[in-house]
Amino acid sequence: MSSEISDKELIQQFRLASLKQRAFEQLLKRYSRKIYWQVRRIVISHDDADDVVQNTFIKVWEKLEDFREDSQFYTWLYRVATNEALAFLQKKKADRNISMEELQESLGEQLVADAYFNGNQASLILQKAILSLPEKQRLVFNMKYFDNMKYDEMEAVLGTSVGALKASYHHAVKKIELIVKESLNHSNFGSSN
Amino acid sequence: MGALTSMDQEIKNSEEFIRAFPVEGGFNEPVNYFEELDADILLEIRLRELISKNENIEIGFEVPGSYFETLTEKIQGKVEEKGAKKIALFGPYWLSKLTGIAAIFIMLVGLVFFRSEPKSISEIKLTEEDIANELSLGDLNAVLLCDAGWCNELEGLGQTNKKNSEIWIEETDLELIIEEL
Repeated sequence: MSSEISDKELIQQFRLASLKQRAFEQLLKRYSRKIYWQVRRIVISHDDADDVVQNTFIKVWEKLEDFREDSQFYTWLYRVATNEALAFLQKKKADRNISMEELQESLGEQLVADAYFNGNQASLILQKAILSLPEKQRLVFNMKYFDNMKYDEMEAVLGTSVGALKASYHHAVKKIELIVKESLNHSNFGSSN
Repeated sequence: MGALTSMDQEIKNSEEFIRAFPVEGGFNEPVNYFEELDADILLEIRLRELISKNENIEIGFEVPGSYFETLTEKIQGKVEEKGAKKIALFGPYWLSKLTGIAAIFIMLVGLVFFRSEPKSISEIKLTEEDIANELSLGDLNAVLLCDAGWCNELEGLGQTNKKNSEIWIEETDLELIIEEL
């Protein structure tokens, strides 16, 4: 049996004024990395991810007392962070007056010059392939492929049925496989950037 | 169920292919970023809490008393001052130059015109034909008669003619007058 205090207990402590601060610190330490990487894969840039993660945890601080515990805390946290990241991209798209496809393409171009991206050519091709997916497929692919989430957990986060999520993931992996195969015919991989 | 199995198999095959792709590295983050991230978030939250609990605390810059009351007047004064500096009394330089040239030209034309036109009466040479064209026969006769000392008689004659005309109108039949006209 784990001696680590559960999320549920931390949420109960959070509702007590005397323990609120400490409980929140524990939740922050437990989940900030996971949430950062989830957000980073959506917004791509480190600086943007930093802003979104901070906003996410400030919202958690403000709303956690009202959390009804219908779902697991992490699922709820994941949903808040995903919504924040998507809202951030929507705002960016509106500010630049471009479509989501154009925005994702520009994010892929920025990746080449990003100081906090050290992937090799294969990594760059994979990321650009992911960015070529429609928004929902991209979210599903990231959750399943990188975070190894189950479909029912994804259902709780995205509010989409398991069947639709599986179909989305199927389309996503097929498209990425195709792009990777095409790139293999034109380039050599294995060397680091 | 068969269709789902086929889809699952396709997903599995594609995943294996993608994972075999020689990906190295990828996204990374600044050194000690997560320690600083947690600290930044906690600091931000404490700051917000402090502000919300102490609404009377004003964190930020202060302005002198009655600053905003006088601000409008100050800005208006500055705007007027700037406006006065910018308004040129004589307009652009090229326009004033052109205006000057035009004025000099008009003065020169006027000078030539007035200098060539005025002549004394003695300098004017009139022929008899010019005078004849300007005067009617009646004028000429009246002038000549007056010059000859017949002015008074000429006036009396005019009045007599008027009286005679009135008498003639009274005595003559209207139809005859119309025929005469």
